[in-house]
Amino acid sequence: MALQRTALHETAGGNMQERFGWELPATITTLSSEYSAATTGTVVHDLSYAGRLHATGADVLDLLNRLSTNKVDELESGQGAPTILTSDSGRIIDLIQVVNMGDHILLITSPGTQQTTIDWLDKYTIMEDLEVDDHTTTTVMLKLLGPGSSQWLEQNAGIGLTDLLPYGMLPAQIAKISVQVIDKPLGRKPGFAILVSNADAPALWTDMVEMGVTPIGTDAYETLRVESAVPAYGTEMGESYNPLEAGLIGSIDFAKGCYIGQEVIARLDTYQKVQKHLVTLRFSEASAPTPGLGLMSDGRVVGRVTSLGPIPKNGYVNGLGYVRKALALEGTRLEMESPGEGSAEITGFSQLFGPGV
Amino acid sequence: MAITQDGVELGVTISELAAEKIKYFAIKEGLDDGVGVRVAVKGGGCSGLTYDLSITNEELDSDKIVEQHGVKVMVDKKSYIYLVGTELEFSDGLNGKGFVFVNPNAKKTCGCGTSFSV
Repeated sequence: MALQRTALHETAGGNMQERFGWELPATITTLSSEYSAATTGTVVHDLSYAGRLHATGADVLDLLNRLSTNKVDELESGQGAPTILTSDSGRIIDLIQVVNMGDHILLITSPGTQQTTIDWLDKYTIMEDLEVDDHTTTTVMLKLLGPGSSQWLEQNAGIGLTDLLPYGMLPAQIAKISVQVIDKPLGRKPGFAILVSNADAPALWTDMVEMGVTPIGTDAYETLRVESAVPAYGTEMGESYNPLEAGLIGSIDFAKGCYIGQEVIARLDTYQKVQKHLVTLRFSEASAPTPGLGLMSDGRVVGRVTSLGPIPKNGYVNGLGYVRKALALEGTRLEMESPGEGSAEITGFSQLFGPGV
Repeated sequence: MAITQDGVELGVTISELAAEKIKYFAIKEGLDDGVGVRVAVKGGGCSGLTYDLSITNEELDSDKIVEQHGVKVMVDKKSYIYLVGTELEFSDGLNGKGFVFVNPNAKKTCGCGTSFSV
């Protein structure tokens, strides 16, 4: 099947590779310069490959509230929240951001999971008034990141960020182009999604680059994700994991009442029965980690590597992995399963992170 | 579509005590003529599907209707396939659960009994 391209394919350019069924730039300039800009200034990433669904009908928010972990039934126009669709055994179907856009409800899914989300909602729609359409390719979604991103938006989009509610939306204009700005942090780092029409996207991208924003590809974005301990679908999220293991406790409302999987999640939390936790890892110089490789302690496998950051930090490769609860502590050193060598040190604990915390 | 067993069409039945309670709530809501209860299924609850009860005397064209103990039990076409053969009972007393669904289609039921999966 032909790879999909975003409306910015020609304009953004870069070193293309396949990811999530899309042809996307791994780098646009160099990985080190893109990463450096992301940690010191303001960067933009074409995140159009993440799923975007438009839901309409009187029962959208009510149904989502009955099917997912966070309270979303009272979201008013401009308000949003992250929430997790979970199975009846409390496992992750997907983490989605729900935003009330006024004339529709926007669901931002993980890359490539829009059909999974549509099918899940469809399965549980019986009498409800609800229609869901896939709009992933009808608009462009940019992600603005970096320590300068908040100030850049205030100066160039004409919006006061105090008016932008957490995970909410504000209409704005950047270089006279109409956009919708959505609060969309990356872990604890500030971040914003900018929605723009396909037609206006190339001009907006060019203008933003001219205004000093550094474009970054998927490698720099993945590095930032791994550093921020943000779980991704397929590697850290899916039906093998529950939200508490994935550090998504901030997207769970324990007082909202029933939703699919609520009984299991409440029990795991009350009796502290979570078996493993998502942690950030720093690999020793001698190690050659690969995703899926086991992490050992006293000759036993106690965890697994799930993702690797594409760029080493201070000479060390960083990654994410799941480690048994008893050993998921900052500073714990674990050996690499054969044929890996060396060790991995746990540098952080994602349990305190997550949208909403 | 009607689901039958030994030539008899199955529907949702209601116990005498549940019928009395429905009538009690109907009178409280000011309905005393053609008292009915709509039994429906919605997505949600711990196990995936959840029961929904409402007092009404409005029938839909697609409803399956069974009248028992003076109460009309109305089930819409879409909910019917999940509810066929279900008996609506009432659990009384201090620790009673109120209306209880005995649903032969439910493979799993959550702890409080209001949610199920098929």
